[in-house]
Amino acid sequence: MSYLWNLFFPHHANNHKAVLIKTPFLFLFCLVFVFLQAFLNFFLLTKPSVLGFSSNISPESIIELTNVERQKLGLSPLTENKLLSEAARQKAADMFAFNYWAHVSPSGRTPWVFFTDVGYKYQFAGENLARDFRDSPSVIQAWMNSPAHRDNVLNSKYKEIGIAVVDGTLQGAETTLVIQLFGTPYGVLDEKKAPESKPVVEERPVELPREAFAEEKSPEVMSLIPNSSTSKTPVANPLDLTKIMAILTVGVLLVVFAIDFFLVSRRQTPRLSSKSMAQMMFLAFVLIIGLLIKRGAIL
Amino acid sequence: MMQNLLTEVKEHSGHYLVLLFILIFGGVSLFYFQRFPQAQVVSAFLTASFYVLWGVIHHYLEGDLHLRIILEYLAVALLGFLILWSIINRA
Repeated sequence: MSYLWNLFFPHHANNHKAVLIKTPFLFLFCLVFVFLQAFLNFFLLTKPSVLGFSSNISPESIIELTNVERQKLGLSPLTENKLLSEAARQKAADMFAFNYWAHVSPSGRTPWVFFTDVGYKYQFAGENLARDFRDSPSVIQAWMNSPAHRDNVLNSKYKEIGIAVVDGTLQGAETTLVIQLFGTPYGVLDEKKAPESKPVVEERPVELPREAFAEEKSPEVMSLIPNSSTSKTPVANPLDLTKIMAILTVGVLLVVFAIDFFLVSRRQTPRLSSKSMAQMMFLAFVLIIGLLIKRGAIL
Repeated sequence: MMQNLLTEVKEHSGHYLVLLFILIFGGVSLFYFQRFPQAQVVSAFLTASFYVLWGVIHHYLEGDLHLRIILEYLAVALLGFLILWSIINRA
């Protein structure tokens, strides 16, 4: 009991400072945290079915939610086109094979090449990309929060849609890619304008990829796993476990620093120590930021 | 406890305002670079470093700067950075 008291409360036996917030223990916390992360990485490599990233995204739900957003503005719903879905699958395969996160591949292939490769002759075309999301509503919400992607989702010129949701490893991280292709077949929208020699392409601005392009890999060695709700779901994902570790570590330290601040200031104990108030502010910052960091990126 | 907190803040209001600015600036930069993990790691590292610097300057001005105190700030800053770095890498 007195050992626990020493750990959490400042008093004469521990030189008026709780043992848990003494420098050696703080460095021990760092070591334990690094060890647990290393253990998590090891576990991730050896037991990928237990720890891993899983998502619950289906092409059908993406199409449904896209149409819900369109119908809110009175726009006509998009119909699924198998050619567009095949183009989206090929785009995803290309991204995994050549390890890039961008609208244009490192070799310069634009999204529109995939449309024509599958034989889809378009008058208007668009592309939205997303990765690392866990569910369909989060993907749609992220796109709707971005003006450029929102314009694509709510573009009245588009008549058809194709979605691919593919699991794989991109830039060293296990992820789920969502490719959303929009299209209007040539001549459908305005018969009078059909003779135009060049299609009008609603192209989204291309931004820098999250990471530098890695060395190109041979397409045949890459494994692409179509995402489905029946796939084996990992028991837990590393991000959640890391956040739990962070909450526990920072939570315990915040409580001990708060006790320390309260007791030391009430007793007016003279001692040479860091400011518990400042330490609490910094730890609260770490906790808030750590909890706010989420998965998911769009392009 | 609230009264003690207020007294402490009142006594060093300028110092805590600077610390608050460092943390808010760190938070904003982490949010701003949310699609660039490497920049987020740099932001977290800089925030932790400026936190230690704040501690050193604060105690120097208070006249009680000691190696033990610097190590305490270093330990907490290192732990905070490790936590943020791990979360950024897993996100």
